[in-house]
Amino acid sequence: MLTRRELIQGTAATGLALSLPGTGLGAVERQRVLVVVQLAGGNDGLNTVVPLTDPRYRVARPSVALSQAEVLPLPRGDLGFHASLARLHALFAQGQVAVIQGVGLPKPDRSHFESTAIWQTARLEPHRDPSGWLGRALEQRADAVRQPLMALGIGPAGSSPTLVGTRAPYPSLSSLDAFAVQPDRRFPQDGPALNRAVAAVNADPREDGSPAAYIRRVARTALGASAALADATHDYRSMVEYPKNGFADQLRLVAQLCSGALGTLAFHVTLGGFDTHANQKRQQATLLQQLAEGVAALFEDAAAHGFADRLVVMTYSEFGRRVKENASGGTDHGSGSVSFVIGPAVQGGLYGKPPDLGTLADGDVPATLDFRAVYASVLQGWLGFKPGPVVGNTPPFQLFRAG
Amino acid sequence: MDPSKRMAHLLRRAGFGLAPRELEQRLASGFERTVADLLEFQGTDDGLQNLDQLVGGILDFNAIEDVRTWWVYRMVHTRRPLVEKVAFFWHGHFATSIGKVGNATWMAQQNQIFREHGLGRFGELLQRVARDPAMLNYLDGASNRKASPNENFAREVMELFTVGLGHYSETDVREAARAFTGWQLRDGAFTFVAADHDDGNKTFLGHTGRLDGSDVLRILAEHPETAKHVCQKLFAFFAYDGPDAKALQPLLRTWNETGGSIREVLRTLFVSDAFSSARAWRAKIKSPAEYAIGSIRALGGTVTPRAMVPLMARMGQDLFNPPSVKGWDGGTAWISTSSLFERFNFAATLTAQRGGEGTSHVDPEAIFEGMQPTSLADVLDRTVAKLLDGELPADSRAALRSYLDVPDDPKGKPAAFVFDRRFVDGKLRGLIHLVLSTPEYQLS
Repeated sequence: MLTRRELIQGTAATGLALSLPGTGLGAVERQRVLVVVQLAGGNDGLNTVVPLTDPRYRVARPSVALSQAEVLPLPRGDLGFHASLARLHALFAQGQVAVIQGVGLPKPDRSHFESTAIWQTARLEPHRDPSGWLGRALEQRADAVRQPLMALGIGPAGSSPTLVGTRAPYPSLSSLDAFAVQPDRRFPQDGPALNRAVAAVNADPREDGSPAAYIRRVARTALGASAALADATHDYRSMVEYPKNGFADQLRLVAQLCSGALGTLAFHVTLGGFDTHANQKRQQATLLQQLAEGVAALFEDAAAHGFADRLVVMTYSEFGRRVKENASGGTDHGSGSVSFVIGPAVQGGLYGKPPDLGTLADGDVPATLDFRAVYASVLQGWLGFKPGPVVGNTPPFQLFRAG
Repeated sequence: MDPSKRMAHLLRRAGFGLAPRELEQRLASGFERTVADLLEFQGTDDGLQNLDQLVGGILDFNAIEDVRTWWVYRMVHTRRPLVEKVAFFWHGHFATSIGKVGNATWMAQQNQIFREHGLGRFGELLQRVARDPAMLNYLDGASNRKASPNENFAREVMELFTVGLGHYSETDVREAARAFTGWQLRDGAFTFVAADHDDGNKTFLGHTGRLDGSDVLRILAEHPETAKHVCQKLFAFFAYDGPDAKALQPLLRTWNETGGSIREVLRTLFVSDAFSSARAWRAKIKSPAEYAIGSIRALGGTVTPRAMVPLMARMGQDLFNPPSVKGWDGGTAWISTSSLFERFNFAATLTAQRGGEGTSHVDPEAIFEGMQPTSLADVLDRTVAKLLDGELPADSRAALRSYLDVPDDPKGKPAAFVFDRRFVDGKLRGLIHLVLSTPEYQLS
């Protein structure tokens, strides 16, 4: 196994080593962090935050509706969390969960791909410019180009379009071990020569728009980030037991990277499988439990490492689902859904209008709150970016505690 | 393009790359004959009878890992490479995921449709895929009932499989969903349940009548936007992205003359000037399957396909488990910082397979095809010739040469070049690891 030092020397030889702005600097150690969680497939908002006293809810969903026993009521009585969200319900009671109701696209689009693209780019015509809303926002920082670890996509799916900037590709990683060039185990002494050569074949900085130039640019980012990551995460030990699933693994990696003071401002992680056209109850219960338990473990771990107060998690999903269930014990693509914004810094409570089953739009709970308002609020209130250039003139609202 | 380069290009696109000594044989046949051999595959024994005998025995098609292993073995060893490549194309087009379907046998059956009908008429392929158990399950067609239509398949068949976004309305989605009602699964097979079918009048894309699912598919298959959409996708997959109308014209003409024959559309494409143009060469980023299978084929030997399957997944392509019904995005989406490391580390794992006969091993010296190299310069030239069509930027070539010049014992001095076991095991494997890690090798 190549040592960290050799790896860094291997890349330093061609000038690719990163100068780490992070380690040891107070500013970076107090860096606020946003973790964006994509609930891919279209999470059913109505069965996430449930209008449990509205009789129309059960009429529309004879088999998909949750019973009283499957819901954890909120103080105002007419709404409740899906029981699988017990750990989030507890955080809500502590005032650490903002529930954004009726959130969605100003003009509904029932295609997964279009809706996801619109959410991730924050552009209603997402195919003109592939940059993501966070990728663009981060470029407001003067050091955005020199700091490729400013944002990280976590997970096997590769970089999220959310984190695509107009200039710099932000890295994505599934595990730290996989994030380095490893020599043949039989010839470990070959490591430095191998790393030098991999750096050299990717060194040509000319940008001619060719795929080779693109690959070289990504490779240079990867090699530089590899060295910096190896350095910064050396001492992390997780302080809590995370649930055993892929989503929790992603969140553990987030905690590890936050603990290293790499200066990463934003993470994007994905929990998929919400496209519940059939057998929704079992499927969504499992997924929401993974969501709540994973996020709660992340905050516990963060608290033990002393960075919970600079951590905020927000969830999004491309759309909600039809009010009326289909014949397969599921629901089809709908419109408005619900987002959570979670953390000790969050001003907990209910935001937006609760779903009104009396005024549906084409069979759907309409989106009464433009998704870009949530982005604007998080950008301005948490990360300190100007929202206007990123999401247009949708006004932000107050989501965070003062100070 | 010189004939060797053009042939290597053809076999990368219409197959999964050349095996040792294959180039000579293909060149002896010539380009046009090779194209014909690839398309009229019935004339070539696929050489996979031994594999097929294992199905139901050590290959258990109730387990998706075994189905994946079976397909990877086919891609590596088939003598009908275009059949597997076309199946791979349709797997991305009619993307269906084991994650939802949950039945590995159905996934294998669908794959067999792509193999048997993937070069036939598009309309026939579409009718079969729409009745296929994996698809009926994946896009919820099987639970689409008159009393409560499920629009999932109706929407995606238009958005992704045929005419494309912008060529249908929400009303068309609803009307198509009505037409497909009653298409269900019974005991794992397609069945039509008249009681659940809505046989009322429908108006779909300008056609009115008591339309059923077959009618909708026929209307879609014959729609001019389907010809454009599918020809454009075939061109982009096999030649280069973003072809202009002029480049697509010959494919569309063939499509119209042959009633949507994929075989004839591909023949038109492969023999076209555009296919063998400078614009097409190295224009595509290899998918993980192309990268992995191509590397395994080039290095000969016998590699355990079961061991390669999870490595391909880590590079971003888990066969039978595409990320969405849109398939894999491809292109630059294949290349992220983490997926690049996965490629580098795949190259390390592959080149380190050094078991003996009967266990997983590659034969790096196979790239020299029996003619021993005479110097380090010769090693480098011939490796680059074999794996990179002989073309690598001078700086990169110099970096690889520096790597070869570093003695593998750090205290040792460069010794005289000897092509022995030690050189092959150490430096040659390392060199191939590096070649497989160059930006140029990621390109097809």
